[in-house]
Amino acid sequence: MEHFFFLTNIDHDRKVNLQQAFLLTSLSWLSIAVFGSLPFVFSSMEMSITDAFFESMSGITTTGSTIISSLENAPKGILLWRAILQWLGGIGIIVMAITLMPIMNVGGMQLFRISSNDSSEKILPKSKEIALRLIYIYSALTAVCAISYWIFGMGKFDSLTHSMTTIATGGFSNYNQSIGYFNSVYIEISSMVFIILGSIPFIAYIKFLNGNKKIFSNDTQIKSFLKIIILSILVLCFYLFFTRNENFSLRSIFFNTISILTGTGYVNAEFDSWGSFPITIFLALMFIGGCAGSTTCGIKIFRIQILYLFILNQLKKIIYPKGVFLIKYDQNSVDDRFIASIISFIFFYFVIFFVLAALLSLTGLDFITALSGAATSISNVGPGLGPIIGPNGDFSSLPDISKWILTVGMILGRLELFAILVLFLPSFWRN
Amino acid sequence: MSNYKTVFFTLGILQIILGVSMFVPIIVQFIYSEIDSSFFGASIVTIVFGALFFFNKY
Repeated sequence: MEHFFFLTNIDHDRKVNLQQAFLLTSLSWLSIAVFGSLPFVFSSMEMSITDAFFESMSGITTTGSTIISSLENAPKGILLWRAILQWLGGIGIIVMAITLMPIMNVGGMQLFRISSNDSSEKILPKSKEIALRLIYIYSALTAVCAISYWIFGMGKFDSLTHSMTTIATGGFSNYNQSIGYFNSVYIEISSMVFIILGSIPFIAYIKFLNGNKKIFSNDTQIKSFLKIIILSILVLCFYLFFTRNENFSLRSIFFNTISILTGTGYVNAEFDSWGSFPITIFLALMFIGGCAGSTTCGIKIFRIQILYLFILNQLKKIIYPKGVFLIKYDQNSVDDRFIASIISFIFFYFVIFFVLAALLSLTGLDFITALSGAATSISNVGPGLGPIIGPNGDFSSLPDISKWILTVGMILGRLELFAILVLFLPSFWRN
Repeated sequence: MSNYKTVFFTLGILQIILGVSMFVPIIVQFIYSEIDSSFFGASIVTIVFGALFFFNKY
């Protein structure tokens, strides 16, 4: 929601410092989740406060986990509200990742600083310009996605809601069977295309419109993102084909791989019945996520790339102890401070994942539900694994305390951990 | 609290926008004859709280 950040520029005395940027980021997501839950509480569905807050947080963080067990019977107004929450969450995170995260130096996001001399005081007018362009691009992609869904056979209402949750890589659907309900290859292809378009850095669209026509083929992150998709699909195809698995279906492999990697969470098959190897692959994909500066969640491609370069560098240093090896990412030199930022992010990501999984298992959940629940919440994917929260399950039967733990995981994952964790440091509150 | 004036101000704007966006599902409720006061009530509460933040005098 930080695209409305520029509105603080109405009064020239209103400028944000770093402390306020952190506070605003956390409180805006939290307050929208709180007030966004009110329609669920007041509706004919009469959700409990826990359920309403879970659904709202799942929406605004573009997670896509739901506690509504019978979506087909849910009021249309509620279905649209879920889609609106995800759509707002999607554009909010893009603008935040491009404008605020770099100045907050969260988990290596400083790499995406708009220019090297940006300061928190300068970010406001620049945010206005960028935010408006991003809103136009995001809205245009949503509209084109809705039209394509409608052309390929979805009803008008379903086209509208699904296009909003597709481009936000959120994954809320109006049906328990998710996108599989439509049983249409064309709708699934259309969905995959727009999920990928929502998963690449939105700043690339602005650069493309500014004349950089080769941005999509030259961007390191986009290239690696596509390579991971292709590699994952190939591995799953080989495994399911050579093990003569009865679930072998190119259509399902393509769709679910893209959906899980990007954290969308749409499903068209029960992939948790494909065997333990595909489940492991899907769990790994949940952690990787999409590109920074997009609507996707997870660790993000650029951090995986820099971690890979760092490990490669360490191996070289073992062979050539006196050698000096520079790490370069996208033609920029990467210094030790930046690498420390990335490594600490990834370390904390897994620490929090294990803490969440442990807490969930303490609430009485079985091993696979606790583990996949923690993974799906911190990576904002949507469905977990297993019979309860798996591809065709929902989160309604979980104890209330588990739902609260999952909502904490969702907001931590969405705001890149540190934006929330820094608020708990006493030094943060000192002037 | 004066340090957080901008934070409250922006949160107020966000909540007002959220409250206004709750009117969109009301249109859908009309179309599908599912009219109830859920979105209207939620919208009023959200806008009132947003206005309180927006006009804070800290």
